[in-house]
Amino acid sequence: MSEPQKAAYYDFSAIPPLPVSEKTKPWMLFHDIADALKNYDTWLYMAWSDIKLRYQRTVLGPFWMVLVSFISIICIAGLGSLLFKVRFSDFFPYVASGMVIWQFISLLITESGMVFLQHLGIIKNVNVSLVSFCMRLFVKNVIILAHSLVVVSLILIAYHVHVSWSLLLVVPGLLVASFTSVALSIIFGFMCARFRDLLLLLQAIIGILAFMTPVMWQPDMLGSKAYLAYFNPLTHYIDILRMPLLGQTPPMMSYAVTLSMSGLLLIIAAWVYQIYRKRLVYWL
Amino acid sequence: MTAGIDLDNITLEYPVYNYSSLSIKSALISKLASTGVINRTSTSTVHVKSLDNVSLRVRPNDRVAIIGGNGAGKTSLLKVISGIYDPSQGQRRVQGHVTTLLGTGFGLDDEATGYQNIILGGIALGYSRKDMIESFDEIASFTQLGDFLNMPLRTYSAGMRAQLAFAIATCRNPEILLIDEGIGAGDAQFMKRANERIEKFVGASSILIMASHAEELLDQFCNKCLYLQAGRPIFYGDYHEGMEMYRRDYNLAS
Repeated sequence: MSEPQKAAYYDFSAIPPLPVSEKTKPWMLFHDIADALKNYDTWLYMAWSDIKLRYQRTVLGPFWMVLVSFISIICIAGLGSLLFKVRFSDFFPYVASGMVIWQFISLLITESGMVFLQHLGIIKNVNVSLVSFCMRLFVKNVIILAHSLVVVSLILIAYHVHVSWSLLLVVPGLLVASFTSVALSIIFGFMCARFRDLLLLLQAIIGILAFMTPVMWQPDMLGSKAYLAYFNPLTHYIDILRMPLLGQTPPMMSYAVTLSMSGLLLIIAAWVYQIYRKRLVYWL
Repeated sequence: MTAGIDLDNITLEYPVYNYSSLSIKSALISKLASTGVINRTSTSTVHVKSLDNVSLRVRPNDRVAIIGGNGAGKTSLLKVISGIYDPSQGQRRVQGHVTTLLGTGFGLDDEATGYQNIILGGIALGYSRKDMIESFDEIASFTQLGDFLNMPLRTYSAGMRAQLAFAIATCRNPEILLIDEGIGAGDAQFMKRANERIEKFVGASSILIMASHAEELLDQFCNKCLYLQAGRPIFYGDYHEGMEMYRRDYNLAS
């Protein structure tokens, strides 16, 4: 091989340079969220096709989901009513709605660690919007929640739960959940891509939280210690989504807690995103 | 707005993480080690300098071949141009939508059918779902995959995948197309069709940049050449002149 020739190979002075392109702005995360919202059809379609492909070669398709959640709700509600000595008919609708909402929340948290790792093929080969993967994750889980809710609504109707206009409060509940979910998936997505141990830790923690969160028990059952349940932020997230289903209005306190959690997490996410956005690709 | 690429003195250095440095334990240990509590051999990550002071101006109708030995920085350069990698030093200015075909793994799903993958792949490359649905017929006739487009992607041969990926990346007349190896797997007929298609959109004042070792491929498509050696640019200019230099360096008969 010859010695590398001295770079007399180009003289670009004759070609006028392009105008300077955009610089990195502070709060890049919020610019990218705005961009992703403009291209909503992208992640909506991706989320929809995630669901479609998951059932592609199954016979029962989405009904598997419905069947499995129905059976587990009956088992846990039955066990709970015996353990806590409450009437099955009182407990059943509570557990049914709680389990479905918990499944939604826990899937969002555990999958948030995988949000970038799962799509490393795209991230390494195309300059894509990272935020759109977070939105895709949220929408996919809303679709899964929607078909589990079919079971819940049947149970609620069967047990004559009074359904009122407060049902509409599910919408603001989901909106708050979406803020938290996008922020969490940015934070956990980056952390788990860098440190693979955290994926396992995340799953372990969710397993514990399933018992520490009032999903299959009610805070009143703790007696004078009921206030302890409200130190767990997930209790408030469960409340803003479950209480509307049961015809109740969630307390303002729960909205205050979840909204401030979302704000805090979004600020942390924006900070993580600002620093590590361009390094993510080297971690995958 | 015409397409254009400017690179000014780009240097790319990136960390290589092996499995041990991706775990918390080793990160903690290296923290402790740096304060002298635990004496261990350094677990700090290795940095690789894959591009060294590369400058480039590419304008419409340029079809640039990037050549050089293995590890010369060809793929890294494409990734810097597309914005996947952020250069450690230097400035990058790009005008126009960049479409990257750096492999056949850009969001395609093995279980999805050819048609579903046209949409999935197109969306990953930044096109809209509507654009891709409009391109169904055109892609079907271009790839000549016929009924295979209704079959899951896992039934495709490597060549068929490469054809589909190429068709998806080029169906919307990209302004700037970056190709890495990728399309070498097609048969002779496909190469002819690919050539016609590239002629068409490069004629529509676009830019093509292609990194490859396959000379026949580059001969067909390119009119300029950037020759890299260990991340440093050795030559940029007329395609044949650069190729000549490359052949001489690697003792390849021409």
